[in-house]
Amino acid sequence: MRIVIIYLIIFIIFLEADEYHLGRGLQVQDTPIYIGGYISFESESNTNNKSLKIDDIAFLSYASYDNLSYMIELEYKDLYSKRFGENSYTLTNTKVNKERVYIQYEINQSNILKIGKFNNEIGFWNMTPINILRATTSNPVLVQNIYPKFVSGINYKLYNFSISDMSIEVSSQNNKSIDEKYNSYIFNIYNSIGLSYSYDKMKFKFNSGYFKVIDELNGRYFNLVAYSYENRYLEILSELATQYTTKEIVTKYAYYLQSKYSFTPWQDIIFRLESIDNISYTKIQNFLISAYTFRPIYPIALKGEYQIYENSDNNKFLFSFSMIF
Amino acid sequence: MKYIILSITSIVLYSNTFVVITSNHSNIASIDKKELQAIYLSKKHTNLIPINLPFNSIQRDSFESSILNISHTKLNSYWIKQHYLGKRPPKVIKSQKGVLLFITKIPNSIGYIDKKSLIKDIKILYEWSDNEK
Repeated sequence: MRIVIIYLIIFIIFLEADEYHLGRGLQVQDTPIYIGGYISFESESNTNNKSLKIDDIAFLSYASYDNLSYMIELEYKDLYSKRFGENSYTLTNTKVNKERVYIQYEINQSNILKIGKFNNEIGFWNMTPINILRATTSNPVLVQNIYPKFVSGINYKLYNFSISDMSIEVSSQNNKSIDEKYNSYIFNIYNSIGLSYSYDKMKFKFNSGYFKVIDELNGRYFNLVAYSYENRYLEILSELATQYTTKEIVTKYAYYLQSKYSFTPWQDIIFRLESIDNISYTKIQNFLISAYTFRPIYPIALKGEYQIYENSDNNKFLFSFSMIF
Repeated sequence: MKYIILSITSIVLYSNTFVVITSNHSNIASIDKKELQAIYLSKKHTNLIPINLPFNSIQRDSFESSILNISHTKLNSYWIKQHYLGKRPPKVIKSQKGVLLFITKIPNSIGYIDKKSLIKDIKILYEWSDNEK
């Protein structure tokens, strides 16, 4: 509770500041340093249970000076969770997680080097994965299953603006991860390569990589292709991926196809079709997500979502409130 | 036919012409639309300092729709995503006079104004009209 009150106080200070626009961060006096953050509350209900939680409370700080910049993001994850009905519980988690901690050096207009812990730049979804910036309250299962969400190492990106917006990037890690449990995998070796290409309103992305999970004998390989299209009202987003070791196919395929239609500047309807064929499931999992998002202003979102599974017992309703400041 | 000629004449007479400018002391000779998009959307590192006019000015409206090809709502959501990624939008200067003053003092800066507001010691890098996309 104390953390929430501190956060509210910080937020009120933000609102009182001159030249402040919600969702754009606050400049620290006349320095190049900016601070900001985001919050997310979620509730979930199905036939048996209801739950609610303070999903994210995060604080971020960044600055850019000449060719050098930094980013620090610290986060409380599931600060408070309460489940009602069968197996009810109340949990608090006051651990502060290091979500992103990196410095970036722009060698010139075309070459950028990043060192530290950063969002793994695979596909489109994982680039801006926080609730307020994504289309729906839930994430596609592909995002949790195929690749590590964060990398603690180096990332090098080469841009070529003369051939549309094309970039090639390489990420590598050969050490223990920063805050290693706060990731989708616990691993110590990671290498990947990616190619991005934009043409008019379309974007394409190809990623391929390898990582070694601690305590696993065989490393895991993954390949991913992603496509996006965006015009004034419609946004299509799709990713298809596979993951395997030298011994077995872990995920034969996982994909999602999402369409978001903005019928007013502050209202979206979203449909997402997902499928995954993973070794741990007895059969292919297919499900459909239909969602509605209301943004009174863009930095504040109220989202409702209904997930429909082949086994209707798993169907659930999600609701979230999120904000960035 | 008379109406078509009248319409074309009125578009030509009443359309505003805008220019992207920099200081005469700047090394840049010209700039294309794609590069302007990359600079004003912070998509590439550059030594140039882009300057915006306030969001409700006609010059900025035209710049966003004709050069950046993006609606104001989309641009707002774009900069909120960029805030999460640690990038900032261009600085805003309140008037065209302010833009001209800034550009004459800072050789690496670029901005946009009405063509009719041009003064000497300023170089035109790009020119567009209200009615062109």
